Parts: sequence; C-alpha cells; structure tokens
Amino acid sequence: MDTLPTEFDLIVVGTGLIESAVSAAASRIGKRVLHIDSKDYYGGLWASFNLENIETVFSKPQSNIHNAGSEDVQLDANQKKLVIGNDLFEIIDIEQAWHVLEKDKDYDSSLLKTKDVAEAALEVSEECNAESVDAVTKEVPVAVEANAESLVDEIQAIAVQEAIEKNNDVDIQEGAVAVIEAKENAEKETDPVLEVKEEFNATNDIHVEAEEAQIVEEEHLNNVTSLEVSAAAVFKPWSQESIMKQSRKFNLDLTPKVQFSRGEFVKLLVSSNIARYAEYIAIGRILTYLDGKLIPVPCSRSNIFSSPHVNVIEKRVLMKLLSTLMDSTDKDFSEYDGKTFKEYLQDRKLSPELIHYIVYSIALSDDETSCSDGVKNVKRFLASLGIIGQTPFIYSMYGSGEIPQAFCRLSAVFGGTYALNQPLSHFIYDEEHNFKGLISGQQKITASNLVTGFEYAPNEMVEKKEMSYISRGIFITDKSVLEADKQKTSLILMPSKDGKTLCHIIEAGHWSGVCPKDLYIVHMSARRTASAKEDLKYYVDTLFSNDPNDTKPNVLWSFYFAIPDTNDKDYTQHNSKNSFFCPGPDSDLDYDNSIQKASKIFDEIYPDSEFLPRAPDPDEIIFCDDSDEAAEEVKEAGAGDLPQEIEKTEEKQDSAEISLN
Amino acid sequence: MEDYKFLFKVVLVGNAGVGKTCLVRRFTQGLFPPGQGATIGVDFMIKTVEVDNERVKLQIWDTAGQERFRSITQSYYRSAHALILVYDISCQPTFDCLPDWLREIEEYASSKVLRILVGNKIDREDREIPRHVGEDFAQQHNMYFLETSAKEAENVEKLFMQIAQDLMEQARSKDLLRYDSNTTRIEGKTSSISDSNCCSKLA
Repeated sequence: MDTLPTEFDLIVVGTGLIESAVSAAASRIGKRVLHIDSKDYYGGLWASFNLENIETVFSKPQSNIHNAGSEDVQLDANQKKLVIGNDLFEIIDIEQAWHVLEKDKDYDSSLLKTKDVAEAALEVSEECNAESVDAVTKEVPVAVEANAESLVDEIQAIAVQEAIEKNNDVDIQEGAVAVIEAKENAEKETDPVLEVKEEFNATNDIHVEAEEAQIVEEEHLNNVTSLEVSAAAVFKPWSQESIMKQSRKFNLDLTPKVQFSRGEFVKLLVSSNIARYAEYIAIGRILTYLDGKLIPVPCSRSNIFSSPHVNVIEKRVLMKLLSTLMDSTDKDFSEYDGKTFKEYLQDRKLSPELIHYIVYSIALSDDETSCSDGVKNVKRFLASLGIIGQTPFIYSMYGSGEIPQAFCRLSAVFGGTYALNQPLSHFIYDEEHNFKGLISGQQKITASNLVTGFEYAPNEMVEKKEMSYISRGIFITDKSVLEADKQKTSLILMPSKDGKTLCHIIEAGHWSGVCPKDLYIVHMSARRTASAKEDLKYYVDTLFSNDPNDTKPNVLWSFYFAIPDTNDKDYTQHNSKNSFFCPGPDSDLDYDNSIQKASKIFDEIYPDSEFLPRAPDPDEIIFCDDSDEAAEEVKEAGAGDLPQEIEKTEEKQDSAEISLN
Repeated sequence: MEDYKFLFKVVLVGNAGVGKTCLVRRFTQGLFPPGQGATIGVDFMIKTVEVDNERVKLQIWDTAGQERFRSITQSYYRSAHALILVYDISCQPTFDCLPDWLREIEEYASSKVLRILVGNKIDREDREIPRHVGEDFAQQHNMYFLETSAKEAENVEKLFMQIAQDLMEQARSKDLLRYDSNTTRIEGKTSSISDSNCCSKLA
C-alpha cells in the first residue's frame, strides 16, 4: 500500500459526524484534507456495527493508538509531542447479555407441536386458494394447487409453493421466512406506487421507503396479514446460534438518531447534494405510554381526525392550539417567562391526555422544559409534518452509521485522502501552541489546521471535570412493541415515571436494513443518572416481557453502555488557535445541533467560505482533459491541485430546492 | 422526468491504478483520459443504453480514491445492482488483493448483487496474470469474467451492455432487489399539510 502524503491544509482525526462534515466542507472548497482514523471502521461513536462486531468493539483496545516507531520521527527544536487520546473520555457501564439458549438443539423439540404446524400449514394453503397437490414437508403433508385468479394470488401461490418445496430439505423456520418473502413480493407487485419507483434517481433527492405511500387493496392486505400470522405459528424459538448466523444483517447504532424531514440537517443534505449518498425510511408512527398502554400519538392533521384516542372536542382543541402555537411569536408567551411549557398548557385547560401528547411527543419535552423551548420544539415538529408519511421524522436506511459516511464520500469525491486503521501516536505542537502535524507510525504528517474528535484530544489539552453521560440500551426483540397491520418504524417517546426526563426509543425492523426478518431492534437513549441498566430499567420493564406467551416482545439480546456527552460543557483547555475539538454525540433526537457545531468549526477555520455549497451533478461536469486553461479555471475555483473537471453550476443553482417542494 | 424504464446502480472496486475510472470514462464518454490522476468532483457517471428496445439508465459509481488506503465507505456498496471488481493483468498484487475485496463485498453488498470480475489493460505487453487464472478465479467465486482494455476500447462496451442486459432480465423476472423498488424521493410524497414549503439554502 502507498505511504500517506505528508503535507495537507487540514488533518481531520476521527470519522464521527462533526469531523466528517468539516472534512467534507473543507474538501469541497478545494482544501487538501487528510481524514484519518485509528479505528478500522467509519463513524467513531456514530458508527453502526453488525452483531458480531459490536460485541468486540468495546472489548478490544479502543484504538490502535501507540508509540511504535514514533521515536524515529525527527522534530524541530521548538516542537513537542503530545500523546493522542485522553483519560477523560471513556465508555462505561458496558453490559452485554443473551436471553435465549445457545443452540437450536437446546430447545425441547416438543415446543414445536406437530399439530400446530399442520394447522398453520393448512391455513397457508387455504390462503392462496389451494386445493390439492402433494407436497411433503418434513413434518406434514400439505396440499397446494395454485388456482390463481389474480396476479397477487398467482404470485403468492407460487411463492408459497416454493416455500413448501423448501421445507422438503430445510427446516420449518426457513420455510416460514420464505412465505413472508413471498408476501413481500406479492405486495410489491400490486403496489402502483412502488412500480413507479424503478426510476429511482439518486441525484439531488432523498430516498424514502414507500412505507407510508403504499396503497394496498384491503383484501390483499388481509390476505397478507393472515399469511404472516400462520407463518409465525411455525417458528422455532430463536437461539444465539440462529441469530448469530445472521450477524451481518444487523446494523446496530452506537448513536441512533432520527432526522426532521425539513430540519436544518436534511435541508443541508439536500442543498449540498449529500442526500444522494444515503437512503431513508419514514418513521411511521410516534408512540407514547399513557394509562398503562402504548398509544399512537395523533400528530398530523389526518392522524388527529382519525385517532380513536381523542374525542371530537379534544380534536378541535388540539388543532386550534397547534395553529395558535404555529403562528405565535415569542411575545405571546412573555407572561410564561420562567414557567414550564406544561404549565402553559395546563392554563389552557387542556385534558391531561392532550397535555401528555403535546408535552412528551409533539414538543419532545419533559415536565421541566421551559415554555419558550416547548413552543420552539412544537414549531419545529409541525414544520416537518406532512413531508414524508405521518410523522415529521425519517431514519436512515441501514442505520445511523451511514450518515457520517455520506459526508466522507463527498469529501473523498472532492479529493480528500482517506485512511482508516492508522497507527496514530502523537500530535506535534510548537512552543506557541500551534498545531504542526501528527505522527502516524513512523511518518510525520503536517498540516495548517487540526480538527479532531474529542476522544483523540491529548490530556494536556482537556480540562478534568465531571463528565455527563448518555445511557444507551440496544435490544433485539422478537416482535414489535405494538403490532400493527403494517410494518412501521416507530419512535417511542416515553417520559420517566416522575416526568422529569424523556427517554428516546426507536424501534426498527428488517425493512429498514438494521436486522434480519422477524426480529426487531429497539434503541433506548436517556440521560445517565445511575447506570445505563438502572436508568433504562423502567422502560425495559414496561415495554418488554420475559414470558413467551405475553403479547409484549421478549428481549433476545441486550447491550447496555453509556457514552460521554461532551456537548453541554466545554472540556477543552488550550490556547491553540489552529486546533479544533469536535464534541461527540449529544442527547438530542436529531442532528441539527451537531451539524451547527460542524458549521461553526468550519467558519472559524475558513471564515470566508460557504459551508457545503451544492455539489455539481454528474451531468454538469465537463471534462477538459487537454485544456490547460480549463485546469487553471478550476484551480481558481478552488477545486484543488488535480484539476480535470470544470463545474458548470450556474444554471442549476436552484435545482436543489426543487426536490423539497 | 427522463425517459427510461430502468435505472441500475453499478459500482466499481479494485486496487488503485487498475483503470476503474478509465473503464467508466471509456464507456460513458468514449475516451481514454491521458495522465489520469485521482478523480475530483466526480461521483458517478450516467449513460443510458438501449436493451431490447427499452431504455436502461446505468449509474456507474467510482471509488473516489478511497480504495488507496483500503477505506471505502460501506455505504458505497449499499443498493448496488452490479459490482465490477477490477484488477490489472500486468500487475500481480492487484490480483492478489481480490480475496480481500471479495470479503468486503460479502460483508456490505447485497447477496443478490451481480458480480463481474474484470482483468483490465490487455493492451499491455507485460501480462502477469494469464487469462485462465482470472477465469478460474471468477468461476470459483461465481462471477462473470471479462478481460478488457479501456485504452483500446476492447470489451468495454460489451462489459456494460452485458450488465444492462442481465439486470434487465433480472428485473423482468421479478427478481428485483428489494430496495430499488422500495425507495422513493422526498417530493413524491409531499402533501399539503405543512404550510412552510420553501427550503432555503444555507449560506
């Protein structure tokens, strides 16, 4: 492999979201950027892992920061080396556990009653108008004859037949999976919206799973649902072995986030053309916990009107209040200075249920949130409603770990040099605290500026004060917390028992690319007060159950940890004008604040440049291989020193907006 | 909306310098760029071809230089319909790295992705990897195999047309990958509930 070049304008250490955004912005304006990470994966604390890797990510030494070879690096007389990394930054409360038996064979085979299987299989065959053909499964003979009347029936019949054929030589569980696959295929075939999407065009646009837009005939839907139910009946219990076999299908976020469909962050993704590097799915519903059960929060206009949980009078009150808040200005709330948002709502004489929906869901608040913050949050929520699906939120397909990578891709496209898994050992500073470079292995690499994730900041440059943490729990479960007729990615906003904090919970399934079929991933995040496990205990006990016969999901695997929240306090302590430390993930639901921090760092380094202007589309690039003149023009435009392309952006300046309108 | 029936994402991988960008540019622009350095500002190139009287749009993605230090983002592989793994027939190390690339592909790409092994630079006299060695490797790993020269325009058209053909057959036999028919654009669903309808650009 090549050795790294040794001179750059900017070195970015760590591939977390903020670091990656600064890297992309600097490359975009033609700066020579080295983006380097000691880890062998992208994203740092913002990464997603498969099941096998997440178990090891914290157990092995956290990075390959070391000294080997650094002694040989010659420094100037006035320079000193500072060891990369600090003692302040530590991931704590790590606790991983399985809640299922190790091997498939550990389960008593009597759990799978032949009778049930037979019944289930019969149901399956009935569902697709089957009459009589001998297809022998391992345990039961099943009769199927595809008497297809419609396209749907035909597809389902074929697929079910396939599934049954499969059962001849594989186990029941796989057969059942095939049935579900068949169902999905059938669904695809009949969905007119989906048909259109073959022309999926990555340019400029954000891709969203058609979850919400599906128009499926009711009859068909019923068909599908019963197929699914009968398929579920033949499942074997999960084992560690059967889950681990599918390890690669998991994308488990260290930092799960949703995005406001029209928040600052998504606007930036679209305007900068970074949106083309990621795909999205809609958060299909927001759930809250009220009076001992989970309830979908009515948030959109149509939700409010169709919700069985709000009566007619409440509907009108809620709609009126939301419009009032939407049109309000700060002045309207001057008498509520120093009071909470909940108090404001109580004074409006709203019912406790409505107050619950508004405070904990629509305002993303708790009992102590100030009135002005509450109103601000409501406005933000409403501004993103009606863009995609029933809620204001989207989630990134394949997990949140894709998001930093989207920025890295843009940085690379604009010439950024990428090197993961590097043996980083020291930063080099002169006597005036100016950053001069870093040492990686036996190489000294210099740059005018340093942007680094906080976890790499040297001890000499951080202030030792009490660290706050975010408690995290990741759970693999066997069903949704609230079964619905359609698979939905859910955001569950659950206030603590005393209402003083709000726990953010995301539940996603295989359709979002984060886990295998028939499993669910639940992410919980809350402020740490005791320990990750204790902090989340109330939510775990409320949502999950240990009893396989319960309607609540069973937890099959759990993983607790707590990550430092380096956002609220400033932990850095240094006089270096050309070093910038990026905080890690914050406790927000979304990325808006984090991207603002990236933008601020960029502005400090390059005050006269735009943060992530729109990148040209492929058809706007004119290649001028032989023309020196063209090369010159690009240089002036700041596209770096390997110019071969010219951007023709003038007439397309506005097209980025189109995609949101 | 442009007039095409199918759009497929094709991604290229392989060591630095094997001619990935040259293959793309030969196909999309019909030229062989001299003195190719790294490619700046180019993400993917698009070419619409005709297969069986249907217009098929190929979106061909390049590595953006991230392969140089083996740091390709996983997201690069996501949603790819076809994956072209390229080595240089005159450079043994680029062939020796193929198993590493395959491991990465297995890890991140869809299991249904169409995989093609390409030995590039057959215009060169100093061949190090005999054709049958490449062929055997491809066969072992269940990939198509083709030797090309981006410089002499040999087999380049054939490579991409074959991909377009195959993907279209796949699509026709209803074996489309899940995600391409399941994703859509934001504006497709814009409804009139929200009253703020302008997206301002960040200054």
